[in-house]
Amino acid sequence: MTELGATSLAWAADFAYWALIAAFALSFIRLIRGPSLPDRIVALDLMTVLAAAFILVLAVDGSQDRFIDVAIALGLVSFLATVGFASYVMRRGLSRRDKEHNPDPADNSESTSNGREAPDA
Amino acid sequence: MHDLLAAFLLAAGGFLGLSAAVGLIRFPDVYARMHAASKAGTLGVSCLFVAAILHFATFEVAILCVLGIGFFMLTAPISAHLLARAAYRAGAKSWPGTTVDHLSGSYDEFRDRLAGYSFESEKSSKD
Repeated sequence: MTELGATSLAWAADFAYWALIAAFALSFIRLIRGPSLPDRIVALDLMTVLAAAFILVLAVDGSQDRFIDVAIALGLVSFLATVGFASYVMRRGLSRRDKEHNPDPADNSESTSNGREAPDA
Repeated sequence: MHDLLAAFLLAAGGFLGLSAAVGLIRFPDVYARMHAASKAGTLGVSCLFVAAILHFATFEVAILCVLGIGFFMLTAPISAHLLARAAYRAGAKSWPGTTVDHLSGSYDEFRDRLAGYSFESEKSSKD
């Protein structure tokens, strides 16, 4: 019974490793391609969560319980980073290149041209 | 028996992480992607924490893992909410299949103020 448990644990750890690596690659694609700035921030957030998950799989697979602290600390850093990025988006807005990606007829690209132009543009 | 359950939870956690990333790739706009990433990612990490509880079966690890689950479940909705609010106020569009937008028109003044913000001017002049 313990033999079966050990082999199934090793198999499941291998599966989880490869699934998390694939997930990491997919969210990296979204990080590169993502049309707007919030898309990239969501991809970064998911990548840190996936890294925490990977560390947890590593802890269970290698039977080292110190790694759980690392996973919790990484989750904390991820939360703080996402809050910081959110306030950054709130202050700065989407970039002009992003507005070309999802155009809106009622968008405020006209309102920039009447009066509040950038001083050096 | 504990190891079998831990193995199942490990595989489930990996699968949930993968499905979160697939949702991040496949979903059409920022808000749907945020939905996929925050929910499935949090559930996957929680599965892995429970797998660690079952595998180590000590009191310290159990306390640590319950703390970790509580922390992830507490912070994921907060960060997703903050990010969705920031994205909406900054003017991220939802995909055409969205039929109801209860907030439409609420933040137009804020968006006008952002549109006059000259942050991008030096970069666009370089391009």
